[in-house]
Amino acid sequence: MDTQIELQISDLDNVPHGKLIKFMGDLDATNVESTLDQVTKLIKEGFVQIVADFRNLRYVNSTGLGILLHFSKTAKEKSGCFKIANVNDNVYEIIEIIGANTLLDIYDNVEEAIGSLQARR
Amino acid sequence: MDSQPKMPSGYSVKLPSDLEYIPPLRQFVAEIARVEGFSKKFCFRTEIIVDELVTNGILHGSQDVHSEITLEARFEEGTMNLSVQDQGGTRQNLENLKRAVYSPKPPSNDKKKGRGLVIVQMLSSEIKIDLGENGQTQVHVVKTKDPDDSQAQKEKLLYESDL
Repeated sequence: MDTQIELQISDLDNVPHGKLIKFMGDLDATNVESTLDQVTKLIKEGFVQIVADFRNLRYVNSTGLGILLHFSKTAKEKSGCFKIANVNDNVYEIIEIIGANTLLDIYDNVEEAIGSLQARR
Repeated sequence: MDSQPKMPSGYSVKLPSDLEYIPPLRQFVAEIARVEGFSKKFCFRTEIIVDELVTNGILHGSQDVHSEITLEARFEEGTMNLSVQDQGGTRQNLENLKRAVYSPKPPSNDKKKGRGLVIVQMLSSEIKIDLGENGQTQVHVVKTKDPDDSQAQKEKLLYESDL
């Protein structure tokens, strides 16, 4: 019944190896494996400049946070990055509690996150 | 307006040891908290606490798919009491649980798991572990209302007095 999260993936204009991933729904233990598979596949294909839009991500638990940290680490190991934008207050609180706000690249909105990627080039 | 003290309300749910049951369960308990007059933030935190405790019980306490998890929630005077009971795991599972509850420490950044009870600790007022007669593990959490909840309670009383 893996229906609580949907990922919409699209290209990022003017960002080589870039992808925008829109997370929609709840990220938790019931769908963490499918999310891990989808994003890991992208990274393996060489798309290592990733912006994750959390505007419609209502909820994340510790298992979900674990894979976000994993994506960030894996992308960095391949000279890329995993940036997050539009985090709601409730989700941010959970990120902050485990200290992940200092480990993840978090931006107020998608435009800022994409701008930081273009500035890196 | 009726000034009689409100009776505590309690709920008990027994569910199969399967992660798929957690989303509706956690949303159900959060909805009860909302109906009881707690703030949106309290309800979200409740959802997380239920999720982490039940996930932990399923993965480490009731690993047999035919076993069960029991959740009890009681609300009274601005306090929520939650209790999650699993069938009891191995001695090592219990030691890990005690360490996570009484000496919480986030795992290293490259670990995908091990942060759930750290979050529960931070969001709860009290947390303790009991052992049942037949080796079951019970984790009890007390959460008192957040500052935001005074306003939510007032709005609930006003709403009820209008009915």
